[in-house]
Amino acid sequence: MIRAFAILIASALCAAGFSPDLNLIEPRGGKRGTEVGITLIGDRLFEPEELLLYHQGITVKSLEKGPDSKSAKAVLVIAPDAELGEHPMRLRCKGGISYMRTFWVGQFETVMETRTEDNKSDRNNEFNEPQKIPLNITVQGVADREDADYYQVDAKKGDRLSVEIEGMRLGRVMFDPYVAILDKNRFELAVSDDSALLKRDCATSIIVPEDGPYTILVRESAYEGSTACQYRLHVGAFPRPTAIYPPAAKPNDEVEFTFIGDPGGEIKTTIKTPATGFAAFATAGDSVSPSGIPVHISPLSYINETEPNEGSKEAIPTSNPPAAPCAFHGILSKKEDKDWFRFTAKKDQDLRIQVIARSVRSPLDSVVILRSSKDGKQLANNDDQTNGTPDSRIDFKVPEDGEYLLNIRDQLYRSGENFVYRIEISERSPEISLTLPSADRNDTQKGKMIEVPRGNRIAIAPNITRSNIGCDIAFLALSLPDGVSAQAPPVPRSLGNFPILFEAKADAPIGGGLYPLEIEDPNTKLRGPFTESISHVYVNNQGDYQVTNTNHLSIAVIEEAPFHLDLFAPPVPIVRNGTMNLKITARRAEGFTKKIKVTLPWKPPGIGAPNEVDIPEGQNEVILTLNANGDAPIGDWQLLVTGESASDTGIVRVSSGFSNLKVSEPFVNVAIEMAATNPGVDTSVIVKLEQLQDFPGDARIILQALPHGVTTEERQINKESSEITFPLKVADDATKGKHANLFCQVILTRDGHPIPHNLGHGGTLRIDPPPPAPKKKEEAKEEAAPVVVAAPTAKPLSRLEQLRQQNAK
Amino acid sequence: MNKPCPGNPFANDFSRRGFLHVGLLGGLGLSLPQLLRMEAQAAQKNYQTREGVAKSVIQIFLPGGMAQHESWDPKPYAPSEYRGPYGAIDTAIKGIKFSQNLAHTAKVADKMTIIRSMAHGEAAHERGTHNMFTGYRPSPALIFPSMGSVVAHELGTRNNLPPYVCVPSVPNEFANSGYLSSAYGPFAIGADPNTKDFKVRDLNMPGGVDDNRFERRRSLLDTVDHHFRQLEKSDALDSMDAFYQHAYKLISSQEAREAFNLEAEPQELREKYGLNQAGSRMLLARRLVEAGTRFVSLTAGGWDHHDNIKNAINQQLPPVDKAIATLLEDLDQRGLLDSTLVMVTSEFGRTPKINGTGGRDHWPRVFSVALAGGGVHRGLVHGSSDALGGEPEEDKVGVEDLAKTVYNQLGITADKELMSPGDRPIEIVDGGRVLDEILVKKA
Repeated sequence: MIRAFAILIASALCAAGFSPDLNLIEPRGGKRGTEVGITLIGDRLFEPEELLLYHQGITVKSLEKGPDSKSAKAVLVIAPDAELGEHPMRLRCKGGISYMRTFWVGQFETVMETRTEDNKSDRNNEFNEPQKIPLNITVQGVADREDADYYQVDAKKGDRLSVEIEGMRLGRVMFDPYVAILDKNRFELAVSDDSALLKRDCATSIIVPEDGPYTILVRESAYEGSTACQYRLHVGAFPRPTAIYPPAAKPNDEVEFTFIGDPGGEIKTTIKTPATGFAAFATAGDSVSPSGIPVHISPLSYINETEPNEGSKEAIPTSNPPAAPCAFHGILSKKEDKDWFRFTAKKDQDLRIQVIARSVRSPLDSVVILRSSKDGKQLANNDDQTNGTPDSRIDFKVPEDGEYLLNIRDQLYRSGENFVYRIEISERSPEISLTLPSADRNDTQKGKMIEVPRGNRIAIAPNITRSNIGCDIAFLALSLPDGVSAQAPPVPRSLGNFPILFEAKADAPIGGGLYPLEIEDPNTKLRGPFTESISHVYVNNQGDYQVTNTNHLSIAVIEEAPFHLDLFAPPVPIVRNGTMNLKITARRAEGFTKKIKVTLPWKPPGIGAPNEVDIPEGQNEVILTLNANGDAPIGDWQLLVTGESASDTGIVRVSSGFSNLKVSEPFVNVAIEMAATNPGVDTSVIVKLEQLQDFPGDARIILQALPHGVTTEERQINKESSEITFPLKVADDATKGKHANLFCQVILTRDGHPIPHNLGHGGTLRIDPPPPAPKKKEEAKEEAAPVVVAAPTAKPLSRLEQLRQQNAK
Repeated sequence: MNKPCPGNPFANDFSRRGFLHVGLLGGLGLSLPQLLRMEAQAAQKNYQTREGVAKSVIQIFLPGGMAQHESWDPKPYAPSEYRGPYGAIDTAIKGIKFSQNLAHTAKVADKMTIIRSMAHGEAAHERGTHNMFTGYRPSPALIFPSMGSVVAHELGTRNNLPPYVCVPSVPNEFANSGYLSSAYGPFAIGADPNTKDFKVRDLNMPGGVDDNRFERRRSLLDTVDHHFRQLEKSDALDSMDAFYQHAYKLISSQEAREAFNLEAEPQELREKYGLNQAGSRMLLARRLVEAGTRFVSLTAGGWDHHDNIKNAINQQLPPVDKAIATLLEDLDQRGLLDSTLVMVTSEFGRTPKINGTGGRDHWPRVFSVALAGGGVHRGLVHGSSDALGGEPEEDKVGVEDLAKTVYNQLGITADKELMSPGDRPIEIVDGGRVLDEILVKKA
């Protein structure tokens, strides 16, 4: 059987390419209703199997490997009704799943920026030598260092001329694009750099003042581009509003929305709302804005503001205020505008007042003040409580039945027609959710693809977030690829994370996909989703610049890994303040000798361990030492380890199975009494023992962390011992000073397995300088001998007894 | 009554007599600001520099914050998540261990004093760096001079060499001259001595310029300078002038230029230092000190190990270890160690507990500094951290103490006040004490 396994693995070693690395999809996007050939560029793209698509609207007509492992080719069919914008995908190969990359769907044909024949630079760097393009087109270009790209388009007086750039949103590098529409005399008619709607990307729109050519300038905003600063520039007569009102609606409702901010004026449209939040696209004639505006969906009833409502007496509604939970919508449109609202609430209602503005891409930086309607007294206020956004949030326990007032303004008293907002007043409800922990501070994707090698295992240790609830967590039935099973033990309420172990049968078919994952509180049946925010562009200490959110795990069965891992925990407990050696062995495929890095994906509370240990190249075993702190909860835990190795064809990871770990009270406790001596004067250290649990036979006790020049012997104790004395040999050159880190290692043995304790931390041995020599020999004879610490006698004396004796002399 | 801030020229009450005095002087053509300046100068604490035990300082700054556990203060008995991935080794100081990564330095530890109880409260890189370069906490009111600039100000040049040299470049904004004239700023060599075609910027005449042409240029510059000097009096002009004078001296002195010539060192010694960044920089520092530079500040590597400290230390520390050990041996063999204070510092230490990504984060509450030569004990550990390396346990040392000790050994009384803008005298170091316990020969 072992031989068969070895042969199977050896053959797998030749074919398997692990950790496929997809860097780029070219071209970056395509027109809907067409077929687009794409090249997938990266490394280790051996044997591509499938593109895993997160959104509907794109299907894969073909996928084939490229001339080498650094590329693959595919043909995508983009449906005519595919949603415009980002379509994330991953490439699944036989050896693994790639990082998520994005492909962009547009409404126009895509042309490429013209390049010189040697492809070293572009040909549209001068205003007078622009690249001529037709209206209603998408250009894929590059904003190189100190590069300005000029495009010229003919437009008719009175028509709309709009431009929008997908730059940072393409998610390749930190890239802040800038766009301008110039007239024939090179005067700027409109410019755009950043906007609340598109963040670092830009869009602008004009009504053409006269027939003629217009030039569009694209560059990096600080001329600091690079060859990786790619953009998709949409040029057309499409509408480009900057806001939508109302910014939220109820699910499955027919609502008339107004798009605001387009130079052609307001655009009204009626939409049947979906069940969850969505992006609304403005249309005019045949064309549609290239990106939508987010609309929040909630079942709460809402009131749209009516002017005037600038003061408390005009608070909306002036009569019959709604009872919380409820919502208000408005726009801070006038100069230094403030809007007031009125609602009623019941005593002890636990309310969250949440502004939804920047989260639906409104420019507003809200400030909210909550007052009692009775006396106008301010009860709470907030500016930027919501994580990562300037939206305000107040958590509020209602003190008494009655009417309450809310007013909202911009932090800097700014205003505008697109300063839309929603204030949502809802009962604070319990929530649970699940995320995967980041393996690297600067890489949100690392280690988050669940790749289960055939006949092997891999574990993840997701983090659980509980808001307004403390509960156990159960994983709902996982949908998994064929041949894969999962062990997902329930998570006790005291823990914030816990491992799930996936295992693939030896004959599981290579395959995979995107799978949702849900958790549940078994008592209340409250459910929560798996969520993942993938940062395509992230800057340390600044945060995300381009994020894709998903609720799906990527899971695949991949080819056999070249090793298995086994974890052996001794059948004895680890005690508080104790240690335990775990043995980890690797079963290697023939010919596989690489180093294996072993980590604990999850540690029980109070248990510490080195971050990683290595099974050295060519070896099969390593010891990983756990230590339990003094407060480690008593109990039984399931433990496993994960090994990672860089094979010749990529990185592969496997986990061991679960192994039981029992944490128990120590069997004995010790207290080290303080000792003091002089260099060259032997002494002893008395250790008091407190027996906590019976143990069989003798146990070793070792006094540790003695200073230089001081030695002692190991002693034995048994279950009857109450005190033990360590005789210390103190050399003449023993290090003087206070040595306060002594401790005792107690090692008892059960069934041949050691149970080490590290006890009595903080034990002190003082080595004082020798007393001064007597001045005269004659006098010295008559005087008492210099006071030195007594050498050990038949019965060792404690420090206190020594001092008493000295004093008596 | 509020206690006035020290150094405030308005701190003393004006008496009627004093007021008359002011008026009298005004009548004699002395304006109030001039008077106040004179008063401030008169009240300024002033001390003559003394003969220092240390003639020079080599400041080896390890930017990013080097972990105390993985260097000078290992905790072999701590639990593994505190102990870190490396073990400890014996050193030439009995009973003292260094991290196993300092195998070479451990052998020369008997030439060193290790302070294991350095502490300050600044966990941000720039603030910690400010502390370690200036001896002051950062202040929005004043830009403090670096130790090197104060040394340049107080001790001046020797053998035509710039008194304060940064290798290879000014490592951070706090290594500059602060409120002192920029004439006391560092001379940055501008190129890494580890590069093959290493040539110090500004030491050689530009291509195609011969001596005659250089002289013509110099006289032309004098004419232009003279013109400006008639129009305006400013520190910038003075300091530019000082720079030019330094530069002329450097370019015209073969001896001074030779100090920068690493090629003059035997290959065997260069290899012993290490043919790498750390080795080349430390060898150059020794040459500069030998030739007469008073303060050499150099950096090596980057030590901000938030992730995977095991790999990072494994890659970075061995060459630094080897170079430090060789530098100390080399200085000692040349009889220069007793007159050269070598400091190995970093802006702070790192967290006692290994974090989730296998690294350690910023930790200014306790860290270690290594000193050698310049009158400090040979083979001493001063202060200690607790069992986990998280807090000072004994003899906490502040940045003021360290700075004051360094200045003292150079013969500079750090209580001396220098004049800052606004005619406000500022002590070279405010507070702190000279660490007598670590000095075997006090200046």
